[in-house]
Amino acid sequence: MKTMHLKIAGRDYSIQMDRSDGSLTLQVGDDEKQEFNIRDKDGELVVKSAAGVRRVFVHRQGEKVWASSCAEPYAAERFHPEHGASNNNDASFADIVAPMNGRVVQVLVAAGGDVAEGDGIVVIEAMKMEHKLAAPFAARVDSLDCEEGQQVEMNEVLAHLIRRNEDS
Amino acid sequence: MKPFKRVLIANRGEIAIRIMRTLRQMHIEIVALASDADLDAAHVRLADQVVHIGAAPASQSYLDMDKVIQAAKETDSCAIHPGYGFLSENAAFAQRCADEGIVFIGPSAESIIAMGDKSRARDIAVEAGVPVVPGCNDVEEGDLAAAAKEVGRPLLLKPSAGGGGKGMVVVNDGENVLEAAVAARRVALAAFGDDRLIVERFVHPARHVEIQVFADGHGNAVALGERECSLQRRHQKVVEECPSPATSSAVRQRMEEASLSLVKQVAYQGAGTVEFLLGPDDQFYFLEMNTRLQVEHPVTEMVYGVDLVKAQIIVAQGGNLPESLANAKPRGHAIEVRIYAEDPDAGFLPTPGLVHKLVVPFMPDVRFDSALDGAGEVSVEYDPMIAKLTAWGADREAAREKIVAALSEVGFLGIKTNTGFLSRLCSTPWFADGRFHTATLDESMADSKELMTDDEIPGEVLAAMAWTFMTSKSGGAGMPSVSVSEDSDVFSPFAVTGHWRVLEDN
Repeated sequence: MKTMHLKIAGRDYSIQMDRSDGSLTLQVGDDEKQEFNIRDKDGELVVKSAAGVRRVFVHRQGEKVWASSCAEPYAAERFHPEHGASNNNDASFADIVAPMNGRVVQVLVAAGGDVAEGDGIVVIEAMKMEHKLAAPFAARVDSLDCEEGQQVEMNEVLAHLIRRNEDS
Repeated sequence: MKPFKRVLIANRGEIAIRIMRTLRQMHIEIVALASDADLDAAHVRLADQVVHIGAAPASQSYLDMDKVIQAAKETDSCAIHPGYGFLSENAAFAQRCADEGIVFIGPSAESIIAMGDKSRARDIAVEAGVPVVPGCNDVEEGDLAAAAKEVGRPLLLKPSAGGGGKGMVVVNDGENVLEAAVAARRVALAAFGDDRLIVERFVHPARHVEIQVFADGHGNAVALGERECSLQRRHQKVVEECPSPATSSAVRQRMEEASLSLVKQVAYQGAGTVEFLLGPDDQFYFLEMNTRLQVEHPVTEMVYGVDLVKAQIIVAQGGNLPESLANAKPRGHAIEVRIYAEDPDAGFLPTPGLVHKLVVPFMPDVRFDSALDGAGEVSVEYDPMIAKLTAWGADREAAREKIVAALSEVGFLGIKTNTGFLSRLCSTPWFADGRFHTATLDESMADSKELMTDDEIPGEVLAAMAWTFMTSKSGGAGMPSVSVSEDSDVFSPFAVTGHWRVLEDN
């Protein structure tokens, strides 16, 4: 059995699997094992299971695989758990990151300033749409890492916030 | 009538490629424009000549009249096809073309001006005997109360110079119209540099139904039925069809007659679209006229068996209304879905990026108009609509089944798109029954999760992806990188849904 870790739509999947010719045995986490029969014609896969048969278009680029099946697009990223990040909903700090490629059209705060939960930090624009990135909690702007007019890439850090204690 | 030797397409993306298809068929040479962002775009690679006209932002390239005219002169192009959007409804540009001796493939500058201003268009419609929504134009502050009383509630305040639903405010029974107007004027001034307002009755629930017209400037005009465009998300059309499930042949005939009298009133030439609101009582009201080829023209082409771009070119060359249009008869039903580079599960955030592999549907009676012809980039600079998929069937249900099947054969592998959303939409019982109006889509998304992706990923898809990691080589230029976390909920795009606003209409 081989182990693979995939991140799909924000969820981690730990997969145990065995492959031989055109068949794949797969176990996700503690779920039951499933058998699949796979025919691969140049990235057009026909996958048979006990549940039925389904066509899946796939393409791999490095550590990412994109798939499309029944009109629904999917993206999976392979990761190694020792490098993986953890959720930090209760974190004492937060990075404001660009949710997509775009351009910073407005910076609404100054470094060192205080913001309330929901306050806008930066407005970015892509494809004729503007999007305001807001503070997830009351915070002090520790650093501003972008300026107006700057092109930014998805996941680029635009600002760093430090949680502000309401009663301090 | 002198055939064009060479035509410049002042556009990009799927519509540039669609226009090229007809130009090729007519043996006319093609000149494309490329901004910095489009040097390797499909519409550029498919052309005979390319003029590099400037920086990526549209204002410095596709919208720059001087540069477009200069490109046409340099390449000795005798005509310019503007497509839709960009300069297509710009009267000054149409006039510049005329002054420079270049044929603008579209109506005259006068027609564009007449229809471009909502108040004027409405006055012209009234003169032509076309029904309009009860209301008053260009209302001054002092006359507002009286106008509101005359129109009745619910009423709609909208900018005289606006379009596409931007800046519109609904005032219901019991709400203060004067207060609403202060805000509406401010929005109108900021968005359009003009704070005049139209006050009119709010027709609800209403359908958005539009009539395709075509005229040759020699007195011949034809109406080619309607398109149903009610399914909109925040005033962006998502699905269109021909005919509308809500129109009888009697209503269609009345709408066609009204549209043709408007065409006559402004001595219109070329392809145009007259938009109406259709109320639940079969009463319809003029909204506006689009003086260009419409995004959703393929549904009309499939049902009427015509090529509207070809007809545009023939008429622009000075020819008469083609027989194929004059005698066109509707057959069957067509449905078009608009494929956007956006993520429906993350508040419809745009998803520009690289498409590593394009999966194209090959099915009978299915048409795929795409901005990409293979792997390529979806630029951050332009509109997120990257393709249109249209299916024809002998009746509506056949067309509906076909569009769902065709969607499952489309893939833009490398970016997220709305194809799954479109498939679920076309599979809802209310769509199958044709029961919807202009607010249905927004309401459905607010009330239920039926259009959202299932959280559970199908086992077969998971297996296919794991299989691909094991068996396929990494595709060339991709960076083998350790994953960057995207799992932090507070910062996920979904957590900040609702801040998007559209900057420009199309």
